Amino acid sequence: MSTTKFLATLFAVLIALSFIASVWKPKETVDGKIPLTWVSDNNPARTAQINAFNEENPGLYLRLDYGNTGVQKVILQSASGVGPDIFDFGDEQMEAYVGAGVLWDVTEAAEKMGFSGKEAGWPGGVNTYTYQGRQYGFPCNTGCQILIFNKNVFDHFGVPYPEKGKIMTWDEFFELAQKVNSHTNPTGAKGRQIFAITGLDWRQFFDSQRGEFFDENGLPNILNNPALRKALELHRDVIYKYRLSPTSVEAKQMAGMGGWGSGNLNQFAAGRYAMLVSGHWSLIAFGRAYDKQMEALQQKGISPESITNPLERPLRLGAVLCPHFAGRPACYRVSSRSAGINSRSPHREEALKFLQYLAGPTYSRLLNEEADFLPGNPKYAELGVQPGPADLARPELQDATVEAMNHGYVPRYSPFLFTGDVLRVLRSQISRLESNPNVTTDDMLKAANSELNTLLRRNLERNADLRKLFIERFGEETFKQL
Amino acid sequence: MEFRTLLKHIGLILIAITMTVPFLWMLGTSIKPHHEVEELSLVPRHPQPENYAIVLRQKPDPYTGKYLDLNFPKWYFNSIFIASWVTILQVLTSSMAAYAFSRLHWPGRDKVFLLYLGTMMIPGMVTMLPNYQIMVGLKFVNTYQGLIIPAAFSAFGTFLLRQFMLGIPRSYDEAAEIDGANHLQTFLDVILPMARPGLIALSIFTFLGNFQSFFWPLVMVKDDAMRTIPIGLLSFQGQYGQQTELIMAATVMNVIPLIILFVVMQKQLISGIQLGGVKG
Amino acid sequence: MNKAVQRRQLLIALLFLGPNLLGFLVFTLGPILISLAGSFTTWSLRPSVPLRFIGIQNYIDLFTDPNFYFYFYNTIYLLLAMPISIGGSLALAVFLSQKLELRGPRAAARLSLISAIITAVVCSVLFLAGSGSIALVLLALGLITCVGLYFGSIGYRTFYYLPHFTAGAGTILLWMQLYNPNFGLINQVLGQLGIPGPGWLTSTKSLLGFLPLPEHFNNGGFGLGAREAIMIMGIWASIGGNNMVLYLAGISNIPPELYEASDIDGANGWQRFRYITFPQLMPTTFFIVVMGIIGGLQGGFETARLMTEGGPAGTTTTLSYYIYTQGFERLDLGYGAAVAWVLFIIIMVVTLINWRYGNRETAD
Repeated sequence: MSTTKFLATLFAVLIALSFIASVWKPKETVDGKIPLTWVSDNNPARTAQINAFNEENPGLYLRLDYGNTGVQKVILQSASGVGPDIFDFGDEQMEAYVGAGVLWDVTEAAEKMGFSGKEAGWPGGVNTYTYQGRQYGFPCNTGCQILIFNKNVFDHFGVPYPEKGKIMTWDEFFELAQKVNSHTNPTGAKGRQIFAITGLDWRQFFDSQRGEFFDENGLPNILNNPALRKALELHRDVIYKYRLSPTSVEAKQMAGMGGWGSGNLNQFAAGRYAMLVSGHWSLIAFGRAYDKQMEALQQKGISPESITNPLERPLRLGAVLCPHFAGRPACYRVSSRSAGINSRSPHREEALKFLQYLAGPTYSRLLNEEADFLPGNPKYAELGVQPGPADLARPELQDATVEAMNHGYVPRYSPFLFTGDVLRVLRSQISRLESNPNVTTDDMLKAANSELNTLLRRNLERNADLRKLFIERFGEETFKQL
Repeated sequence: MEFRTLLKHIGLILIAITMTVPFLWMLGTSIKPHHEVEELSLVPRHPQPENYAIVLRQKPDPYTGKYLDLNFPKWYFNSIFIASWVTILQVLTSSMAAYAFSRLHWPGRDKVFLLYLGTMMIPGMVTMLPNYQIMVGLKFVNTYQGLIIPAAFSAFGTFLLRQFMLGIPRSYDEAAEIDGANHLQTFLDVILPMARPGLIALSIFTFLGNFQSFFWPLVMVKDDAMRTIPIGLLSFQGQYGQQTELIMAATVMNVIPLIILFVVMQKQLISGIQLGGVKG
Repeated sequence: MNKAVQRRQLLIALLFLGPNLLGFLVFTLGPILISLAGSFTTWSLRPSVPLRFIGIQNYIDLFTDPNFYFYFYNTIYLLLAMPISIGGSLALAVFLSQKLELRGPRAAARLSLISAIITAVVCSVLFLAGSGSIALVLLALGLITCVGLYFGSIGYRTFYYLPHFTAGAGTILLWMQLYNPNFGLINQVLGQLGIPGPGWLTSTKSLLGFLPLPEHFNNGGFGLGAREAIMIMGIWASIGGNNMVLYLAGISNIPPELYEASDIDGANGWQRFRYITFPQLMPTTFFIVVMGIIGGLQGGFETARLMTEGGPAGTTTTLSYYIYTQGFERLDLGYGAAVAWVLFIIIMVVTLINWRYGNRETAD
């Protein structure tokens, strides 16, 4: 066949395919309704949540757009004016979205429609979706981390469970953790190592002291920050002194990919850890693991009660609040996944209805039924909670979270620097420590501080208004010293 | 001689094993139940081939009891459709440009070529935003055009084919010229057949690269019906964990036609050698 | 050459270049010029930062930022895997293009059948004996042997190209598990042999760690660390990939007359390679080296994003990952563009040197 004929045939085939492509277009929008797109994850519960919203709002048609891999896509699309109407954001992303101007300020509308943070939100958690006093969304879910423990591992080591209703001090916790740790001495079933805890790092120690990254004026506070210093030192101890938990990279490798902690949870459910610091949403994963374990026993015809080795038993959970420092009140950081509105969406007024829906009873009930995190509105914190299997102690976990929320806080933001920048710089320094025990805390803090000062100076040089504000607060000298 | 050939086979087989491990692991994971996914074993303890049925929506997802909300046939069609268009357009435009850069003499040729080459040296990250805004301006967002046209022109392909065409002896063009062929005829009937191995290699790279491309479709596509397979695979990732076993099952189904395509193309390459041998 | 002929040639060249040039101007050169202009401004994704010309401020900041040099060093260091990977691809391609048939296809079919039968018997015995895992591994080995013996080159090419098909999340997940310092397969095997396994992705050590690098470079000393882990993975993934396919295509383009002539002269295998194959592959090698440098200097983004987040201690942060964090996490596109343009100048200089040296031999 000659080249020309070959090319002609190829094009003919492709044009035929194009015809199919143009015909094969399923209709998605419902006539006469205003379409709204919500960028969120493809969590199985979304279908019910969206259907309920569409039933309550007959004039609107909400649909899910999953596959948002974060900041880059939303910012790129929204900055070009073609973004989604509603999208989810985590606490750490809020500043970037607000900074990029893609999140719509809903403060006034929220007051009018009854979903303002003051009125309908958890008092400790308002700042997960409020920035410099302006509200930019409402939580799809929210909560604090709690200390979940696997009763089977405690039974295996013959250690009594953490006492219910009492908040341990960190010293008491370390003592307990060492009793259920076999890192250096694999005494577990089939010689497996059992780490005392997963999910615990410098951040819990920092939060537990009500730590702040910035001072009241918004200046980064790294070098002379006792809370940070103490948190980093304890972090080092947990890894090197007590060997209670793997380093974050080790944990990440154990967890596999994804970064949602599902791997960690599987490892915990399989008895590789005695305790876990996590949100109670992990119950979704534990429910699955538990069902599988029960199913396997049933197939073999074994009843769970007849098993003598506790590590072979199906998962049994308990939960208490995370420890606190002796002489200091307990304190936990609130985190949320919130929905916000694209400031350039043509249907942003209609999208407000969705935020209102998130603060209402219908959504909260659906959320609680699914054992997700807490609803954003504390009024409905317990609405529709299912008891579930007694072994998983679902109500105990939910109650602990609600209780922790009463001690909740959110670290303050600075107009001059993103908290995300601080965290990235600190994490890089901490991974330095994890690969090399000889790095001193002073080294880390100094390196982090100088890197942050560079970023701060760069921000100020590029933004005249910000520079003016900075010089007003701290004087010309401080600026020049950066 | 026979012994040496056998030795070669043994060496090649040993390398083949290390290369095949991830694929075997993927096959193994694709029939694992969810709680075994984190284990490093190649073979599941309790095989669960239903994963394939779940992905194909013949069975409900055991955790939710619902059928997955997936549109695999359309995504599959989209992927093949877009990759086919991109491949043919890119091979065509690149080979034409390569002809101009390798067979024709014109002032400034090498300087323009260096400029082409230079554009590949700018990381795509910084041109993403301007590029996206051009797409918005052309109203190409969420359309097939937006996924096909920007990928149809490639400095990479031009460079690759130029190198191949440089290897074709000049005597062939000269012979064609004596026969009275014009440039178009020389290009179509002499150079393209001679550059066949290069064209096949570029087709493989372009098709596979486009079939697997992720970032650009991710930002360009908005409707479910416009998704390609790599974007569709994101639906297995949730806030509370990803269903790795289903991703793997879908990926296996995704990869098999690509492997067949590769084998067919390589066969073409080898038959090309024989043709060349006959001619020479 | 007279003017009219020149003009005519230019016209013909333009006709051939036309379609590509049009797309090139709109979708490549345009955005690139925008990014060049942007690198001299406060170009930002923050609306609160007005777009303003700031001269070479971005470049000054860049060159006074110690991180830039560190990430540049990382990028170059990771590039050192390239010669190994290209050499491996060339070697594989040369082997695969040689005759692999065992006295004609009949013998291959017979041998392949024999190994299939052996595999089937051994595997079923093992499977019945209860060691399913070993049985399946052996089954895979048997299948590879059968396919290799029967299909020869095409079979092997496909196997070697497999990492390329499964590229992305799956492969990265697998390697992360392999590299686990405690539970990973690699360190478990090393442990069996009595060798203490390195920390891989958790370690800042490097093979150049003995150099007196600045403190800021987080030098963890001599050893195998995260960077080596990424290099090994990269070599593994690319050795049988596109470069091998290109070399195979290049070899198939070599006129057989050349080999026939050398056979008459009584050349041995190495001489054939040294005096025919390698020089004839120069255009391909030139292409592969140039693309390797271009790709390598822009590389490390996916692994950093999915595997290491640029850590530990920034040792796997390459310039491309740095551009991403600056542009899309810090929203500072102008600074990111400046990094990209410095990177561009470096790549361009390297390529021009390469061009002068490599293109001369191929031009005639």
